Amino acid sequence: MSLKLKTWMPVRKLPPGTGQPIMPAERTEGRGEAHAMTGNDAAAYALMQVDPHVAAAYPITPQTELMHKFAEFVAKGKVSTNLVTVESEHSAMTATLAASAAGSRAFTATCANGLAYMLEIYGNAGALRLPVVLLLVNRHVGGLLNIHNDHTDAMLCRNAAWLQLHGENAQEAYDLTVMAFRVAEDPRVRLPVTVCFDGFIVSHTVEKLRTLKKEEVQGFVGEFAPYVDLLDTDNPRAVGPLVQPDTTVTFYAQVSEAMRWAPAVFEEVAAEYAQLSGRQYSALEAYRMEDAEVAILGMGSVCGTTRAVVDALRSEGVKVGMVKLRMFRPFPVEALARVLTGPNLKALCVLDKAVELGNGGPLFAETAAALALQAKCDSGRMPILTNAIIGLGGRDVTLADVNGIYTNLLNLAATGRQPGMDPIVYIDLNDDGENIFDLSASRLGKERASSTQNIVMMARGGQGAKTASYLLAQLMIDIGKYAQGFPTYGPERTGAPIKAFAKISDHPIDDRQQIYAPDVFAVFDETLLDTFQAEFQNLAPEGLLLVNTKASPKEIREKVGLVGRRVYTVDATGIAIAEFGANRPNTAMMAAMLGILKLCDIEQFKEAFKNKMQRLSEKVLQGNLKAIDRAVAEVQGE
Amino acid sequence: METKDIRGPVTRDGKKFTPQKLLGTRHSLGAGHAACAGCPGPSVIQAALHAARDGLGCEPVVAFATGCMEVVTTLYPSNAWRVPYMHSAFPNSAATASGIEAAIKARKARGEIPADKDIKVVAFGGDGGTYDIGLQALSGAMERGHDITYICYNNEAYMNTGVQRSSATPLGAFTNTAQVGEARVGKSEFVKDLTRIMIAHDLPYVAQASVHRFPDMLSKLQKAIAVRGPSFVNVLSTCPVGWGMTTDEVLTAAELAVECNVWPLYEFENGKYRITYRPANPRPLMDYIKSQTRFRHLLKPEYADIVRRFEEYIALRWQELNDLEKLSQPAAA
Repeated sequence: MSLKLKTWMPVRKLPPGTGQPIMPAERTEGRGEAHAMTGNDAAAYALMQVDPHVAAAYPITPQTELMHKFAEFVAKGKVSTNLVTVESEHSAMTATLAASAAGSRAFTATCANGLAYMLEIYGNAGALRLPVVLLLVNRHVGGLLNIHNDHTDAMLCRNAAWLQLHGENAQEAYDLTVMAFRVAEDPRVRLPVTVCFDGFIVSHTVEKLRTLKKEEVQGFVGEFAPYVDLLDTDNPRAVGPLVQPDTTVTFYAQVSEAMRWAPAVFEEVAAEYAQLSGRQYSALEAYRMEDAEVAILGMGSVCGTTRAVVDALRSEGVKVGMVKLRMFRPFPVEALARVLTGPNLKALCVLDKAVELGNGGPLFAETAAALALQAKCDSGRMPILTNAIIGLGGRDVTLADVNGIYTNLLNLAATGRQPGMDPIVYIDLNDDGENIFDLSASRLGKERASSTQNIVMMARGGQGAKTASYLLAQLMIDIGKYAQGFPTYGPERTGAPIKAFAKISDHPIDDRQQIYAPDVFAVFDETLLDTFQAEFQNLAPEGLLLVNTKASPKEIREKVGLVGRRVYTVDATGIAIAEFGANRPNTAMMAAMLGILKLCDIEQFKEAFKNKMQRLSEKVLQGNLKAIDRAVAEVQGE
Repeated sequence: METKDIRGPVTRDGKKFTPQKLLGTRHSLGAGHAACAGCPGPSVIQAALHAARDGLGCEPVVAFATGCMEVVTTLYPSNAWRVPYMHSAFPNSAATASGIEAAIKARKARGEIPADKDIKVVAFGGDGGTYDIGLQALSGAMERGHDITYICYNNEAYMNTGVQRSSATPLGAFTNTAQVGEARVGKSEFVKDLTRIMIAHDLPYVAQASVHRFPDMLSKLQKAIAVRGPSFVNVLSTCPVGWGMTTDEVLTAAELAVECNVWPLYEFENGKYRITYRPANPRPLMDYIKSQTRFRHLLKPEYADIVRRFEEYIALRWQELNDLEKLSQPAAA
């Protein structure tokens, strides 16, 4: 076999009317039942509704809770999926592909080191055209052991023949998971799909989303129609041959062609999904880009925080915009170039949650290449290009960070000068390369606090602060508000100081930063007052310090040196021990908080508590309900 | 000692399948594969698939590890397999089998394939893909209890990549990564006894077979495939290239391995050991060593100590196996 060499390969056109879509980001919740779920639970819920034949997975933080939830669905008989709990990620991907080749709809889930371990087989999926789905709960992978979020794992596998989609929040984790199967299995594509969402930031945050009914999802994904079926023993097929140099290019040319079809198919599938859900999806979204003079390009949860900053700056009349890339593979070169070479755009910063050490981020490099081609081919225009390495290893991406980037872009746009060939900054290092991780309150954080109750809970591991943040968010969502509830994660074990956060608002909450200038500090353990003393000064002017102690508010105020603001105390531990015999002060602390803030009727809280804590024995449950009443009655403040 | 059938395997019904019946049956591996002249590997595959299809009446689906037999049977665009086959990489033949088996169960549960269609997943790997890089996947698959039979065609080194030592390579043997010189004399370690490792997984059926003793091998493969659960067969499959032999010496070398007690033929069935062939007059180890050029250097008197250690090792293992067999027999009344 010989290939005729051409001086240049003409790019074959896709059918008219399809292509790489850009869609203005609309803020619509769409239809469906409202839930309060973490990103992991949302993805697991989607997988339960798809009900694939086979799943094979191996535990790795922060993917674990996705598979916990799925295993719960398996145990309860909510799915008929054959869950294979393999002994490694290498076997997880292998078994997933083998099940697919044996005529099954199959998925796996992993992140970071797990992805690195399965990478050998990851490549096979695309080359063998097996339409499996991988849930990648993004986590750092590299030279350092760090379990927190960034996109170094997603970037590790960017050269394989897989589609790669990035979800911003739990809603997108759900929606993209449902859509992924359809896109993967489309006969024009027949390629595997990786659905990414940010570890912890999305995977472990309880927030609001809407889901379809199981029968709607079943109808949408349809029956699995295998192209290869090893179980068709009358027509034996060999999958995975040894390929020689004379046929390798032929194989990859076909895969490449299928990849080129993927955006058009995604667009079709998304349009059909929009009919069903009322939620619109596209390969990339342009947010307030019409007349934007400066813009940020990003993927995943940073886009939420960026959108919050865009809204704040727009309300001051500053012409800023954002482009959210949802489909990283195949890279939507044309659509991206189109939206980023408009006549108004003067400066662009690409946010990368990964870095090619010594150079910039991969997203920046690919964007720069796309823009350079577009400038040469067509418009001749090119914005000033900069790159920020942000959120690496889980470093919190704050509103202040993003605001700083926009300020910098506006300055560059005013000078009109490209800052050299190396326009890369690491957030948050100073000019001397020193770490300046300054978590003092950002200006924008305080502004938004006016419509949002931001709560920081400080506790020791085991006191139930994480549960409290989740419960609080669930409760608020149940009564029609918007909320996020999430803990900090690290090597903490029982007894170690931890924080958990809750944001409550009447409006959708976009930003994903931790809380630095809260409206409430709730201290679950008196002995932590010294540990966190410096932070109490960041309390909002009308803010509230609530401490679990026998001491009076006056004594606590003196101890922490807080001027102004409000100080409340309640003996939550005493109440807990008296009412249900365990040092779990979280119920009483939540009750006291709700009582003071009047976020809901206390009977609503008791009802929600009963629903969520069904695993408690009747005796303990009744004790907790009594503790709620006592805490509301006994909390005192000044 | 009393042994108990703690797993109580359910087996497929099968008629006794003999080598004579091979004539006239369907070939599962087509002629025209590209294996080396004299290589007994394909006959191991043929025997296993015949046992499955003609002996047990089930439909085999094959999972394969990267290795000689993978390379020589699926050189794109040709394909020697007449049964469904899948390969993706070196370490994951057992995991591939797990995935296929999981799919069979899932699709039967949904009525997509008939519940009574008897499909058996048969996984293959060489010693490199089984003893070394694939051991984790193998152990995992066996522990999970999938209905799969894993067959190791063991030629005692990485032959596909040009004869490098594996943990199945015997003491003193020359390989390209365990060479012979003033500082080193071939492989310095004993073999890893994978068959014992698989027995430790408490599988319903584990066996050791050799290509030269075809009826014994066929019977063991059939027993293994008949198990409705995990089973393992370790087949000594000689390699003219890696061992240093002419093609007509291939089966003789395997025979010597058994006659010298280097490779005992035995099975472990429902917790009981049984030696399936006992050499009437065991031959000295030197006969085996002389039969292959990979041991050529051991003929020199200065390396007599290596041969002595080899002999001691064989004697120890053979005694141990005999003791285990004795323990497996019902106590005399």
